[in-house]
Amino acid sequence: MQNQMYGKRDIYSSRRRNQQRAKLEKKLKKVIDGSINCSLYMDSVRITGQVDTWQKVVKAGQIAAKTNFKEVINDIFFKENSQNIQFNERLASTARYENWDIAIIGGGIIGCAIARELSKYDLKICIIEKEYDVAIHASSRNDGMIHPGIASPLGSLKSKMNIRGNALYEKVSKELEVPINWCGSSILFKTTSSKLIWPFFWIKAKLIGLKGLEYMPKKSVYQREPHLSEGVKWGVLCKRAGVTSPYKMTVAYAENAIENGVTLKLNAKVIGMKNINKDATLINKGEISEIYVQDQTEKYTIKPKIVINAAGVYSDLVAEMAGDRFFSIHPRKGEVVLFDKKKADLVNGILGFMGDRSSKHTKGGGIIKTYEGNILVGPNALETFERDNYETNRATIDEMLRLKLPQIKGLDMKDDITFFTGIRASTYKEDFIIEASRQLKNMIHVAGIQSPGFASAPAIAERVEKICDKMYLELTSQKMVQDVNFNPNRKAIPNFKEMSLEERNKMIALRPEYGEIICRCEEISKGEILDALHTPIKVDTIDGVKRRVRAGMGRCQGGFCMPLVMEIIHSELGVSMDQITKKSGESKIAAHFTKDRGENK
Amino acid sequence: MNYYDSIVIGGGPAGLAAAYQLKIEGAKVLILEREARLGGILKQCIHDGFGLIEFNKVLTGPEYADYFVNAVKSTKIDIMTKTFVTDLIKTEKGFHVTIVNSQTGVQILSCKTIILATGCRERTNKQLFITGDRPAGVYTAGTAQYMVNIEGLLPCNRCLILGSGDIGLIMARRLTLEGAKVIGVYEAKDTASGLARNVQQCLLDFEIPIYYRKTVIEVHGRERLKSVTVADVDEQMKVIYGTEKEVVCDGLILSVGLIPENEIAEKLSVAIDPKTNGPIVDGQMMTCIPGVFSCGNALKVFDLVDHVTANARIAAKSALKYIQKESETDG
Repeated sequence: MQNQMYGKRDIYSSRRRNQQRAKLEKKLKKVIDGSINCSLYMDSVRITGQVDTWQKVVKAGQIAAKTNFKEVINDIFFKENSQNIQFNERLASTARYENWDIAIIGGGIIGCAIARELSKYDLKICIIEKEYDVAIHASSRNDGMIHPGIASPLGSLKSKMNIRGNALYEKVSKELEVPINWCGSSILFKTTSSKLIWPFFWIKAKLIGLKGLEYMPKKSVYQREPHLSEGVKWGVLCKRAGVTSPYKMTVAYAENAIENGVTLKLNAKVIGMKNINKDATLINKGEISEIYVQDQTEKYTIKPKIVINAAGVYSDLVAEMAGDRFFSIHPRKGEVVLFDKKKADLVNGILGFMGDRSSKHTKGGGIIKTYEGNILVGPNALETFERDNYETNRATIDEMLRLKLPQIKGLDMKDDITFFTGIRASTYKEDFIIEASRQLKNMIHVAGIQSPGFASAPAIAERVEKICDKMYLELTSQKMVQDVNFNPNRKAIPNFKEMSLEERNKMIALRPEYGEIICRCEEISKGEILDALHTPIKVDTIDGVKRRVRAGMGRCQGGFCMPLVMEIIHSELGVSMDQITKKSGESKIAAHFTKDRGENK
Repeated sequence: MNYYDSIVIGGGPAGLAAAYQLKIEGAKVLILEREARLGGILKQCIHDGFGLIEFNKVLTGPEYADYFVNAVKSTKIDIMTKTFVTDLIKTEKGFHVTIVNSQTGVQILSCKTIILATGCRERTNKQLFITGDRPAGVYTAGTAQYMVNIEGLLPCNRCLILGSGDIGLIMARRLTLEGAKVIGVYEAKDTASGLARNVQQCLLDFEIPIYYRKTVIEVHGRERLKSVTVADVDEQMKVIYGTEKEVVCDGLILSVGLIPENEIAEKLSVAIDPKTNGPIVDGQMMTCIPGVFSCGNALKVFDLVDHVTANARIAAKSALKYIQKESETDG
């Protein structure tokens, strides 16, 4: 049965796989807990059992990941993750249904980039996003770094995608009008003996085709970063590293996709799927015939030709709904702290410190000057069973700042303006999964996209386009047809702050609202906020405006401009002042009108 | 003719008093205000208690502001509202002030002196490192005051106030009068930061408790605030772990300090005092850059607006002397 199921794809014999499984099980029983069992699922290994802490669950998964199995399905139970496994709400077909060529689950940078790539073709595409806007989760909760690609393991998919994504971003940046600051990154070392590893960097760069790598003697390091504290002995400069705004990039991808015909379904949650062949195997493949969607008003059915799973930290749960869960996501939280632009001059690019990582699973970004000029410290790395709990924690932030602030002379805790958390969608193998499902004819999984996922997004979209092309042909016996009307160019909202005096005058003559500054800290004009309210994606929240034009992201954190932004939303969109929300749902800014105001209403 | 003896940046109480003084003594003055109306933060301070020293009367904020707005307007001082200063440059003869405005676009104005009267901003929960979620319902007292008094919006039904600065105390009363429940004022120090009269009139008279040596360390609620975690602090204001308690509320109002706003001053490399966060000035309110003066809450945070007015007059008189001296040397 096993052999038949895996056919030629199986590089290990059934006997060898079983030996591996038994060996792993023995080890896990000894090291983690006696209750742990291992079984085989396709070419992944599934581990089950019961332990008392999440740390043990993760540890077991990490040990299992060291084997040669393709992926690790971690179903070890600990008291608080029980809900995570029992989520699957299978439904009968609803009355209303829609036909789509491509249904993309997830409106993060990956889902949006894929949608935009596929919008080149004459296809009916929709993005199904459970939140009220795109870029709500990991895509707006990262440092916006476009990694050079030197950090990912040699031969990994991460490495390939990163190198290619980095190269593609120059064009993407121009087409979508989201500027990138190619500021370069420095990997810094505090011991002289570590200089011995420079040749390995050089060789690795050659192997992966990374250009612009330079050895920096101590003097060059301090010339480049004069505010760096003492103790750095040498460094590696990667010129091909850059920073941009991750949420603006995601929004831009989504907008361009929509302009090219893609439908973005917001507040739409996938609650189940129908596989027409429940007993699907690698040879006798299944197919997703229906996706059940719940939005704010109704349940309905999507009948897709192809389903793309780009659901971030939920990608394994989406795979499970499809009956194709061959991996597990173990969410890894990262907190970052942003500092006042006043201190922008203290850092010139991206700084990573070797031998100073809070965990081996961070890219060691450490200290970054963001595109806008805020110094960003972090992220740290904390394993968590909660997929979307974005709470920050004082103790872990303090610990991170204690380690990282002393690296820069003149950077002080009191210069902070905000902090937040992101959650990485990591698999136990810690590599990307970008592939056609092996037991479903019409599903593509894009999972485990953690750092450098943002940097890889254009390449991931390109790869999915290829997979999709082949899959479409197999399913329909037709090739995907190029859409002659595809327009790769998207117009950004004019950025008043970055204009010259002449440009500003021209703009104000044309649109006087551009001469009225609403957000004083970030110098955002009324014109920009008005424009944000009239982009292809509906924006009617304070945070929605923030993600597009940064009003409220400065040092006063919206203290002055939030009521003014509310007034603009009110007068422009007709939303009553007492109903305006920060981030949709229950997040109303005000409880209600005051007594007088209420009576007069 | 875009040349002024003095350009006053900020049309709040400090800017108005300074501009008026300069004008009546014969200087050519321009007031630049980023908001639509003059008066600064006084516009939203509808409680009374202003003007005891200046007018020997008890006035509300808007009344106090109106006195100066009318005075300034009667003297035909040039005023530009909804005008934002984007740059300041030192020139041989004085300064260039770059402004942006929807009517006139970008303009560069010249002047001999600059009066910085840019006021202050409030410290935020993020600067206190209050961690947890990022829900709606966490506002600084000034923002809450704007919502209630200008927009007619009640920010919350049941709130806790962190910090006992004057605006926090005023807002405790204001929110109570508007029907919200104020659970209490939490203060990390062992005395109130605000005026004694405000503690009496805004808290005690309304039976709102004030708790000392307590602070808020976390906020909870993914969309709207649901609760906060409070904890005791020691003499060094360090949190004493083990004393945490969760308080259910849908609002957290912060009154934890004001920071003079000097970002525009920094464009001229005006030296800033790290203690006050305002420019370092001589006895006559002149900063380290000759011709640049600072007054009001942009210089240091004052308790009473009457003192701001007096301080602005000193700056104006000092600027006048400077203008006269410069004119003489110009011959």
